Amino acid sequence: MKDPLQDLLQRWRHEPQASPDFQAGVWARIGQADAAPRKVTVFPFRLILPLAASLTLIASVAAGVSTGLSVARSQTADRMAANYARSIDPLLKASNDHVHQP
Amino acid sequence: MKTLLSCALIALAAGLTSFGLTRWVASQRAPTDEMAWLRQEFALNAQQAEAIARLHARYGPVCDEHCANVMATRQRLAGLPPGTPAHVEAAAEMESLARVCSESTRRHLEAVAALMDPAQGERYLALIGGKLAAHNHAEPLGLR
Repeated sequence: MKDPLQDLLQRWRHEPQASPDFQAGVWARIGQADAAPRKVTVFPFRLILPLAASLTLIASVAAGVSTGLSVARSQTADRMAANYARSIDPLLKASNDHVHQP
Repeated sequence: MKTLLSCALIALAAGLTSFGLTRWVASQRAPTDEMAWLRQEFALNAQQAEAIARLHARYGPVCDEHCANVMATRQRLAGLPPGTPAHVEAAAEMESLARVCSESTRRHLEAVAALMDPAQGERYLALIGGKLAAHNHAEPLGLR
């Protein structure tokens, strides 16, 4: 026995009607896109903030390192020069009570 | 505005951290021995460093002897009542000793500087002479 639903499905044809303003709507949107001013992105401005932040960070670290080196060098020179002066000057040596004390 | 402030604070923290770390690392790596420091600070080559080390070794006992004399005279001076002839004599002896010490230190410094490259020698005299003048000499050592 044949299924009537099968026959019905085989006979059924669907022919969709195009929307009457479909074509006009498409051309209207194309016209709008043509009329709009084109944006040519020469520089990605959205990157300015991250770029500036990165540069600031790098500059800050570089300044910290160079100042740290300079300060450490100056302090070492000062300390070592004082130690050295104490080692070659009898008057300074004599001022250090621990030296030559009986 | 909030973002800018955060960026500025992060940059400041990074700068301060890098300053502190660099200073700490550099101070850990600084020489502790005076000869090593001289070699590094005044860019001495091996020959100059050796000659200066020899000079220091020769000068050491002289310096120690002067130091002992100064200590003894200071002790004697401290035990004498001020205004007495013995105190005046000891004070004069102390002055004379100080002059001798300054003179011998000056000669030693100039001898060491003469072994360095001229520019470094001048820097050495300025740096060490300045320390000596600041510490215990009433007048500059008259280094040339």
